[in-house]
Amino acid sequence: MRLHAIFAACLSAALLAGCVHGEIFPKDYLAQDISQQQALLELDVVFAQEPDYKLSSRSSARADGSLEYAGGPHIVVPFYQKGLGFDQGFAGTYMFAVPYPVAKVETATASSRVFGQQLDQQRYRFRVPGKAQWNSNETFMLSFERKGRRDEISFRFSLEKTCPSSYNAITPTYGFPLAVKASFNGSKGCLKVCDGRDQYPGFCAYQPPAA
Amino acid sequence: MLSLPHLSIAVLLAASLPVAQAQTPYVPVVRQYGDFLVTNDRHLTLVTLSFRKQGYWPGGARDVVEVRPLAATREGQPMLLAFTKGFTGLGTILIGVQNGVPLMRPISPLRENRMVQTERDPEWGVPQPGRSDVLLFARDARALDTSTGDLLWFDVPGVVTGDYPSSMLLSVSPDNARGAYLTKTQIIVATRDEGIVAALTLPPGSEQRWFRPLSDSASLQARAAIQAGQGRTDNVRIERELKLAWFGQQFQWTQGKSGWQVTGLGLASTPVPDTGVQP
Repeated sequence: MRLHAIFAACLSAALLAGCVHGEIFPKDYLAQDISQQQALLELDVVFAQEPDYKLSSRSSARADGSLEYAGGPHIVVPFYQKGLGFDQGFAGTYMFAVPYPVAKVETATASSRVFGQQLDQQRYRFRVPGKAQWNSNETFMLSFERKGRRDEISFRFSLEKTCPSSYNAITPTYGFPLAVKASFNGSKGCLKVCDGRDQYPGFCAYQPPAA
Repeated sequence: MLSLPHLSIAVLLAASLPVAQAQTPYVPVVRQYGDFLVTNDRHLTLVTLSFRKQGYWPGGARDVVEVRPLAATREGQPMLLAFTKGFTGLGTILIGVQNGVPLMRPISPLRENRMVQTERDPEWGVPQPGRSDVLLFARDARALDTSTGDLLWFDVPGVVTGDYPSSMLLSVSPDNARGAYLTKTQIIVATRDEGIVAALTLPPGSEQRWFRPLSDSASLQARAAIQAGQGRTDNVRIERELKLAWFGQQFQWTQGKSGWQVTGLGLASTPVPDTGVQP
């Protein structure tokens, strides 16, 4: 009965905002599985020193039978969604518990990981996917290892502005040099390096306003 | 909190008081390093950074304690060494501009379980004996060349960071291409990408002859600091810095036919046969 009430509430709210639920585990893709038209941008990375590459896959814990990859340079792309979520309210006492749902606006998050397509030992191609019904955070984090030393560098992009999107950068922790080149589907696009934070793919500390 | 009538009364009062008129408006202390502005507000022990008039919290660290400019520049802007603390703190960081964006590089993170100690006694690096422009961060196996802004590390397998590393960074060669590390029985020389290239086996009895006195002296210093209620109380850190000074006294870098080598105590490091091989 309670479940029905939630569904009914959600259904009515769905017309306005939609129900949200975040995803805990990222969904994995290979760059070559994402078509160029679907991708928000395509990123070519040339590592000055070749990263570790030993791609392996196993079936993920997800119900859709998707695969989980490991062992190669990849990007983590965060998404968010705003909508109606539910908290569990509680009334009554120990013996006479009355749980009830409390509706509120929530931000749900999800992320995808895209494993790079190896063009040669130093060159990799990534495609930044969109996600149906989710907003892109317009950031992603490139993560790779060299001799077992993991390093991560974040990027921020925009499809409305235009700026030079081909340059050299170095990673924060170990200072691995790399050259990035972003290409966009439309005529506009901008890719900037982010002052990121370890383990937070959606984070950029320095975000000047749009020029 | 104050309603509008209250606020206007307060403003009127403040305006009518002669004292308030006599006071010059308060201006926080602002230091400028290139396009970086570092503001230190009254009552605050922290500073705020901005770059090109845009607020900047490096790496998301809200509590920046101190910023020191370096001689090195990136894109015409000076590089900064900063110490951040607190829940969002990242410890000692290096800030440099890349493609018009200031970017943070972690050098010496806060110690998870000894946050208060690190915050009270920030790690600013130890100048290398004989080369004061190089700062050694031995616990983090990093060295910072403040004249070029290069954050150096060397390709040594195993545990090189932390309080009890299997090999501890001691010194950087004059060309920045090699680093000397201390293991239990050896001083090893490692390159930036090709692993260990040379080794020097310490004479037997080095533990008793050299390291035990350093350790004892560090404990004594720490104990004295605890009793005095001031100074450095971390004996492991004191010992580490004593070892760096010991290397500076006893050893030097000399150019051999196979690159820079470490010599001292009548010994010299010799190339190891399995150059660049990772275990």
